[in-house]
Amino acid sequence: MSRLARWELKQAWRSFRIPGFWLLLLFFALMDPPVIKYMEQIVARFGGGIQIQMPQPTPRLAMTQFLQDLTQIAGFVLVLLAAGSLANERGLANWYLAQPVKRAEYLLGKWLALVSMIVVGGLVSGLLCFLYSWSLLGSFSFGLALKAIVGTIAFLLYLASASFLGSALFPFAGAGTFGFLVGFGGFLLSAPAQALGIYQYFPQSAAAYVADILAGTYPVRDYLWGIFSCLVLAGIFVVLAVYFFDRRELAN
Amino acid sequence: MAIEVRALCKSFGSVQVLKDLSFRVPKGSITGFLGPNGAGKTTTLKLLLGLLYKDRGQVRLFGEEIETRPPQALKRRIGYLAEEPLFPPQLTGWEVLALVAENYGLSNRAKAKELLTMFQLEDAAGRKVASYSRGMKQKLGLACALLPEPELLILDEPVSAMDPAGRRQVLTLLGDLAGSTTVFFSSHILADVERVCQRVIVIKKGRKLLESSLDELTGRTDYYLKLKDTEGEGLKYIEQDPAVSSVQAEGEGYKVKVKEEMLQHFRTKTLLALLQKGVELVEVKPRAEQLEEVYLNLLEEGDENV
Repeated sequence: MSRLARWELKQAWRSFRIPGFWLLLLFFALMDPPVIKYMEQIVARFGGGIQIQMPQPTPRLAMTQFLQDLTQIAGFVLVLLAAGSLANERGLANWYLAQPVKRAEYLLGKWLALVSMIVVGGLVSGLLCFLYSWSLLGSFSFGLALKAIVGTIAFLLYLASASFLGSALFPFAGAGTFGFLVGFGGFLLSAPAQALGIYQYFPQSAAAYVADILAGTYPVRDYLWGIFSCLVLAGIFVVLAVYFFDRRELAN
Repeated sequence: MAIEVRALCKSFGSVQVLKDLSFRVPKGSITGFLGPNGAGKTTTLKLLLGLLYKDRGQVRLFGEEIETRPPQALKRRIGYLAEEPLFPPQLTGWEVLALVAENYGLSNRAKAKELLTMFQLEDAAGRKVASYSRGMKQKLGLACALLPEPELLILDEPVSAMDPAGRRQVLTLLGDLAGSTTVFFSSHILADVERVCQRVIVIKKGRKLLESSLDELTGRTDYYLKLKDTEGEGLKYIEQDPAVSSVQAEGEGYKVKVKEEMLQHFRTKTLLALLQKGVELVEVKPRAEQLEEVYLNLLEEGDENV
């Protein structure tokens, strides 16, 4: 499995999937802190005389902005990348699976490569953003930043796994739609779920409460529930992907 | 038997692609799998490999019954080349072979190098597969299929994209494998089949039209003999010869059907014996037809029956 993941990583690196995704994360890590710091000047210069009351630039704000960009924009890209991982490679799957390679082994190799890309990219860019924010905007709690980074990475893993399951079930467009609906759909239910006091168990809470975690105003124990949901559901999605892919015919 | 298929049925939605298809491929033989487009050849090959699942029927590989997919141990004995081979496009030719070697648990790199040289891919081995032409991909696919030295080679149109020199080389190679490796390959190029195959299976619309040795199919076992044989000695000898299965009068001579496995015996010993008996052989000619002719006639006849 890790053997096939190694080959998959090589293939993803050379096809610019990994470098492209990492460059996107790096872009946010290096852009968000200065944008937050100089937002007032930027608005004054390009705002055409509009008066906007800007919040005080802080490293926490820069980190929050970065992690939200990860959830929304990098998350969007990730859904598309994961949706193509099986749906776009049926012919290649034929080649692999005519050899002594188990379907689960093939599929998990692809998923592991995806996980490595997310975890390494998320951690490195998160730490870079933390250090840059520190140097530009002042000191900040590393522990809180790390918790928020881990929560965001867990949510990205959940998103990618949902899309990956979609990829085992549907062609590319269907896989992407499935990934979006399952991955982001929970955000739409946040109001009623919060009213019922169950939103912390939703995987989306790992991304939704990032600002509060960074501010130290949200209970870490509740936040861990969100991370736990993300990881458990990601695992379930992958098991389901193996189950369905194992029964699927590879017509072309 | 290397492959035994019995009453195999397969449908895609409401379209029945294979209808009670049965055939056998003996170990060590080179068997051509023929049929027009949409006959169900690729579907059959994919069913053998477990890439598609049968609706009904029985598939046996090396005597082992396959329910859905061949077990890993059995897959290690099989090499496969798809009609349009696809590889991870960002890997080099050399890396693709290294990946195949890992999948089969092989550590010997010498064989990979030998195959790259054999298929004249050594200069392109360091290039990404994405830049390969279709013919080069087919050669690489064949190298991948041959790398584990399989007992059974399943090839889907293996030389369709190759230049004449490449085609000739691959066909010679396949011919050399006869006896040691079972080769089961589909092809539209009948001259290629005629050149290397010992047996042919023809299907149309998912049904078998014919399963036969190539010699028998093209009439290479039929001879026309005209003898100067006043005593009738020659005819008597031929009728009793173990290599001959039937003799019929035809024109001024005889139509002689020879047993397939004793063709060599007939061509050498029987005819020589006739000469030694003082029988003059006025005319001896095989009544062989081109495979293409036989194949097209067969498909036409098949139209009426299928």
